[in-house]
Amino acid sequence: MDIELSHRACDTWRAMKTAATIDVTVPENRKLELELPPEVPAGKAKLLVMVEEQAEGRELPEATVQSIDGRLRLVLPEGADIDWEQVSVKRSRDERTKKFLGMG
Amino acid sequence: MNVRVAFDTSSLLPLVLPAHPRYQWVKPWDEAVRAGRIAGLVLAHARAELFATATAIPGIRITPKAALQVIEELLQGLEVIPGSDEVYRAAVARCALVGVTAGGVYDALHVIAAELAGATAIVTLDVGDFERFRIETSPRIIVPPDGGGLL
Repeated sequence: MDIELSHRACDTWRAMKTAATIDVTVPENRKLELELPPEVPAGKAKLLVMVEEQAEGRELPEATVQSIDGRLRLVLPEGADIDWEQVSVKRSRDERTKKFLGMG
Repeated sequence: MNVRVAFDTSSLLPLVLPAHPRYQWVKPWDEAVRAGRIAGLVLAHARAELFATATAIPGIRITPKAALQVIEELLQGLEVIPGSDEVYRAAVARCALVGVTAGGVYDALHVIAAELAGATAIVTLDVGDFERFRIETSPRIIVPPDGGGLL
């Protein structure tokens, strides 16, 4: 559990009562653990993630083009830890569909 | 005449990114195409899907030029099926026929293109998504590492 995150969510919710907005820094592993405070009533909720600083502004490790097994391939930087479930054609299509619906 | 085999985007993505966990599964298909043992087909739409997916890996920068270079070389060895109005209309009609909605139409595009191009088989890593579009005359679906008796 991310204690600080939960406390801030709790404080914000007490003040706002209907919606809690908290600022977080997305960690390198992109994993945030959030336990909602007991004051937040059970029921339907929307979890909205907004990233203010776009990735283009950061220095990201870059893939290189190399010949592997007789063909040009995109070789990822050494030590790159990729969540391959996030890299799928289906996910890419779904995001585009959401964009068409005005949800992305 | 070589057996004509269509590839969907999911089966080509690992060939662009050898770190992909399914790279070893699809590599024999790539080798079969390059050796001329089979004729590889792909719908033109896959070019855009490959680019969109390969350049969107979280935390890694893949330049558009690098992606272009690799994708173009990969598709050079394949027969590219144009994304004609006939393909798109038939794909939407197939969705209506089998009751599929939303993004499923993109899978239907690949199935229809393979049918129109006279493919014997479709290679994909998303078997469930493709089986639902098959009709009696459709190419069979092959999911690597299965070689379907063609490798």
